[in-house]
Amino acid sequence: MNKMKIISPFLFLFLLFLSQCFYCFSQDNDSFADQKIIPIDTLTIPHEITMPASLYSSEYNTQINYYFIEENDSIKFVYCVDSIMPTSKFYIKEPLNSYLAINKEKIIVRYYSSKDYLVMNNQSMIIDTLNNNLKIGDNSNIIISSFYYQFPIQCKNGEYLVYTELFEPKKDVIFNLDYRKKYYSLPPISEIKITADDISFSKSFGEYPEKYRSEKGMYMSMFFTSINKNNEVFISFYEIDSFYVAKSEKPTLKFPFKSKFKTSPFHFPDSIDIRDPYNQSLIASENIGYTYNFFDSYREQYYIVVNHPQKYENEDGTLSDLSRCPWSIIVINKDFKQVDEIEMPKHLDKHKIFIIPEGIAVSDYSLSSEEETVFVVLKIKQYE
Amino acid sequence: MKKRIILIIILFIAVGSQISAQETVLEKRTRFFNNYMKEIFPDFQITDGEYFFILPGGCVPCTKAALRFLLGNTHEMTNRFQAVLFSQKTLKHLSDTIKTLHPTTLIDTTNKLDRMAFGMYGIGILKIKNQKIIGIKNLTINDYEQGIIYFLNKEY
Repeated sequence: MNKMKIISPFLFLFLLFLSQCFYCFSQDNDSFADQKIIPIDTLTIPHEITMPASLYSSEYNTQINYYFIEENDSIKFVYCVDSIMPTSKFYIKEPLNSYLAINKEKIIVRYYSSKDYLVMNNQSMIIDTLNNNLKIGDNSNIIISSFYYQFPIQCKNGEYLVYTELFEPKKDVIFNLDYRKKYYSLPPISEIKITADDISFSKSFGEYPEKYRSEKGMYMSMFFTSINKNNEVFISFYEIDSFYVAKSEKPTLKFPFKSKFKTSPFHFPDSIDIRDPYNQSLIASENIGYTYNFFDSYREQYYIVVNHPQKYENEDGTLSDLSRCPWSIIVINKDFKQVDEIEMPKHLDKHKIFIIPEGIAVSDYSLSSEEETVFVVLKIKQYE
Repeated sequence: MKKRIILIIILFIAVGSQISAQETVLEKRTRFFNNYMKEIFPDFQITDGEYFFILPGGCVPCTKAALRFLLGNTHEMTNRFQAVLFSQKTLKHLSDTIKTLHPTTLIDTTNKLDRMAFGMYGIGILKIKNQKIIGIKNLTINDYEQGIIYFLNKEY
């Protein structure tokens, strides 16, 4: 009996401890618990936005943000300098094959109905047609993939350089190992030069990870880019725990990083067919994946968005929504050193992120609707 | 007595977990499919044969091109499949003409179909025998390159 009396307070404390632990876990990361990011404001765009991008621009020496909206039954491309509010808008009258966001005064569009690259001004008038010299060697059958990831554009001596991936429109070869070995031995970043009259391929640089050329890496292809003030392209890869810093005519630098939530290497079971798109989604969902990266030109640091694993198939037979998986942001400082990882609340949309002077603007699912996109502005410190 | 009861409970749990562990992937998909059909299309009688699904994802250009081809071969579709299934949301992205692919077209107005774990993506086909799924296939880029008829005839 006496023993019980002694144990009881400990038991009580232990239960209290357990309940505290349970409470912490049950917060399901829906609040800004760790105070590394502090919500300071909300901003509302009176439209649903799609395909957002946030990049440093050497022309304006600051951050530019752009996205598409549907306004008055038409599609508009919105270009913003230092803000997420429109600096200029461009009317897109037809489905786009590709586009290049040059600056606040002009964009280049290529409609599906034509092979021409057209220069559009901010009055939405076509003011020029560029000579299409986009060819590598004798091969003119190459395309720009504008809708794959944000691609940096820099202004240099009045000409524009676009850093993007160029490829031949071959669909059947992605799972052909010989082709992959050849293709992924070429540099991923292509420099496209745009002058007043023409658009042409200039040179390539950077490299793909070794894994892309191996049997195990057959499904790998997704990489993401941003650019810093030194014209260095920051490249991260969906499955790889390294980011690359590539610059034209310089060796590519490789830096390690890793999410603290990653407990095992990116894994896909040998028993499943990776060519099956269902299985690719399953693999993507149940592994840690690194997606968009951003250079924050105000605080001189980089962010890599991390998708956390979640079970793909639920017990009730439904699939988990990949876009709603838990996520975090890895912070890389100006010296390319991983300095932090911040867990993000689940009600924020990892696909709609902009960098603005006040911090990071992230769309909030719970506040947004089909009529408007509401952003929470998160203050983030400048890391040493 | 107490020990015996505990032992029985443990045995019960062990046997139960064994039984559930033995459910194969196709059995699990069958369970999902049957529950889904009961909920969304309660009046539809599932019969043996193949079912054609149009879902989000997969190779989107392949899906569009395949549907263009199949819309010109609805006779083939009618003979081959028991039904065509897609969601209301899919109709927003594809032409209304997909309603004419088959005389039995099941449109899920709740859009739950697009979130179901049937093991399919884009264009997929389920084969049913004795109320059970015995095969699932998805249209891949490689299949599409070899022709839609190749895909339709491809073994599960």
